[in-house]
Order: sequence, then structure tokens, then C-alpha cells
Amino acid sequence: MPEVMIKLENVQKEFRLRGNIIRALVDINLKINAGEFVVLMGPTGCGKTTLLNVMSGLDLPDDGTVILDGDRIDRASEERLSDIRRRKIGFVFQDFNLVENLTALENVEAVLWPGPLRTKEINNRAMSALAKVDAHERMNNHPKELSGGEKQRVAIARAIIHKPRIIFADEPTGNLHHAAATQVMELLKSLNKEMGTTTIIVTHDKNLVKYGTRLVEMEHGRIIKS
Amino acid sequence: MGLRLWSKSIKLAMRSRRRFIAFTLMYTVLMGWMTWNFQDFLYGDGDPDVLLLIVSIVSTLILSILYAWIVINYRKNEIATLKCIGYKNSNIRTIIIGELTWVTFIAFMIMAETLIHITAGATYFYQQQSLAGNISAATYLEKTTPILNIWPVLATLAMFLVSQILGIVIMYSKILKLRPIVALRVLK
Repeated sequence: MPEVMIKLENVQKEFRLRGNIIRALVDINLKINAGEFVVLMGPTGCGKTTLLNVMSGLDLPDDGTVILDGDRIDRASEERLSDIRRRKIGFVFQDFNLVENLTALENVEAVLWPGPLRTKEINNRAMSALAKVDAHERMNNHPKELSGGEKQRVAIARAIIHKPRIIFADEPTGNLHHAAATQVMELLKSLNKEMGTTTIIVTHDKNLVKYGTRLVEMEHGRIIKS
Repeated sequence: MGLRLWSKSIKLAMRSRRRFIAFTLMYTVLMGWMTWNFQDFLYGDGDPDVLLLIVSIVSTLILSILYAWIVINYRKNEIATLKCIGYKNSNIRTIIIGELTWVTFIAFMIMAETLIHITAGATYFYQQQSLAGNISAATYLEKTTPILNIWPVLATLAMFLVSQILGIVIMYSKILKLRPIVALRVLK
């Protein structure tokens, strides 16, 4: 029986916007197994990013249960969530979110700075992660000196340096041109195969469906296909 | 771990060049002014100007809070991203404190260095005057007594460190309130 990486039961999430209640997630039930490459798709405003936020512990549901790799996170404290994120989760953002005042290498290393590893070991791991995403030649460059595709590769290296159990990517190709987007998706796919890391990608781009092992479609806060 | 974050915070402070230079200069000037006021208060001949001393202390407090506010407010996205990758509030606090104390330390060193040079310059000048017979030995000794005593300098440093801590304490609630989800929202 495959290992369940994420389990959501009856998850609900509402937002209040100018007096109106928006039901972002309605009765979400979903199981994602370890090693899956899930593409979470749907039109703008369907709740896919909210679902990703809830699954990753960035946001808490109003109701329901969220279990990530055996840890119940729907009511966890911020300190506990920080700990889970540090050990188990890697994030890839649409806007890359690299720290401008750090080099590519330092951006990757930064994940491990608060941890117990020795500086040399952190440095070795960061260089190895950058080599894995083929960005090692730009390791001494600052984000402003990198192209969009290079920034995203550095961001992916940052997401994998601590060998996470799961990678969440929110529109990872949203700010990239076609060639760079293809490279990034190929890279995420190969990392998923090579490292067995569960990968969940949120996108509205139908061209990315082919990279996934599973498609989850959403509409009006509900899962319509999984 | 704490030391590593501390050293990285110094790197981050130095690399945000404009902010670093601007606040280091402001701190240096303010430290010089406060030291002078402390000197006047502790060793002055006439009535010390307490009001000036109070104004310099309040200015320091305001500047420290402003600096902490700028560091946190202009880096919300960066702080939220660090939280996303597993940084705890205490880790973020270490980075911010490191950055603020580094600026204070550098400003203090510049001020101390400047005072030493002024004292050395004055000593040389009055020594030459004394050797040339333009001033008496008693005047020479009086003039070359250190321009500032050590206690006003240390009191200024202590006052700056305390105000930095106060700035951080006041702004820490902002760090606590900042949710990692902001990393996804700010640029969209």
C-alpha cells in the first residue's frame, strides 16, 4: 500500500471580502501519496493556491483535518509549523522570492543556517544542490544578475537542499518565458523521479499537465477531478 | 547556530549599503552629540544643559525605533520567505538584532576614532605652541587634558544599546504577526 504523504478531510476555508463571504475551499477531501507529481489546476480564483497554502501549513483551514507526512498541521502552532517546514517542505514561488542581498549560493545555504550543521557541510550541500539544478556557475551572482529561469533554478536548489519530503510550487513558471518554463518543469520532474520527493504544483497553464503523474482540477473551491 | 546567524546578519547589514551608510552616519553624529552632552552634564563647569541631554536621548530612541521599523517593514517579503523556509521568530529576531547592533558598533568606532584624532591633533598643536613659548606649561597641560572622559563615551554607548533593544522589543510584535503566507502575496 502506498505511503500517504498528505491527507485532507472535510477541509473548509472562507474569506471575508468587503462584507461578502467567499468560500475558497468547500469540503475538500484529498489523499496524495508519497512520490506523486501532482498538478493542481483550475481557473483563477478557484481556490487552488488556498489549497496549496492549507496543505503546506502556510494557512490554516477554518474546519477539517490536514495531515502532512503523519503530522496533523491544521491546528499546529507557528513554532511547530516552522519546524515541519524546515524538515519536510520545500517551496518554489512564482516570484522566486530570493533574498536580494545574498548571492545564489547564500540563498540556498540560508535554509540551513539556523540548523545544527557545520558551515562547511552547509556549503557543500548548497553547491551540490546548485549543481543538481545546473546553476552552480552562477553561484556567486546576486539575484538581480540572474535571468528569470536562473532565479527559479536557484529557488529550486533552495527548495531541495534540506532533502524535503515534499515540494510545493505555486505557479513556478508563471513569470518565465516558454523555454525557461520548460526547463524548470523538466527539472522538477527529474528531481521528483530521482529523489522521490512528492511534488505539488499549482498552475492554470494546461501545458504543464503532461509533467504530472496526477491531475487535480478545481472549480469554485471544490475538487472536480482528482 | 546563533553565532552563524549573527555573522550573516552583519553581512546583510553591510550589503544594504544605502541604509547602512545613512544610519551609520546619523548614529555617529548623534553619538558625538550625546557624548558631548554627557560630558557637559558630568564634568561641565557651569550649569549642565539637561534639556539638551534629554533631547539627544529621545532622538536616539526615535532613531532606533525608526531603524528597526524600516528594517522590518521594508523586508516583509524577505522575512516571510525566511519563515516559509523554516525560520523561527527567534531566528529572525537574531538577524534583526545583529544588523542593528552592528550599525551601532560601527558608528561607535567611527566616533571613538574621531575623538582620538581630535585629541591627538589638539595635543600636537598645543605642544608646538608650548615649545615655541607662546603658551605656558600650565596652559599646555590644561589644553591637552583629554577632550572627553571615558564615562560619557561609555554612557553614550550604553544608551544606544538600550535604545536598540527597546526598538527591537517594540518592533518584535511586527515579526510575530508577520505570517509566512505574505511571501506569496506581496508581489502579486
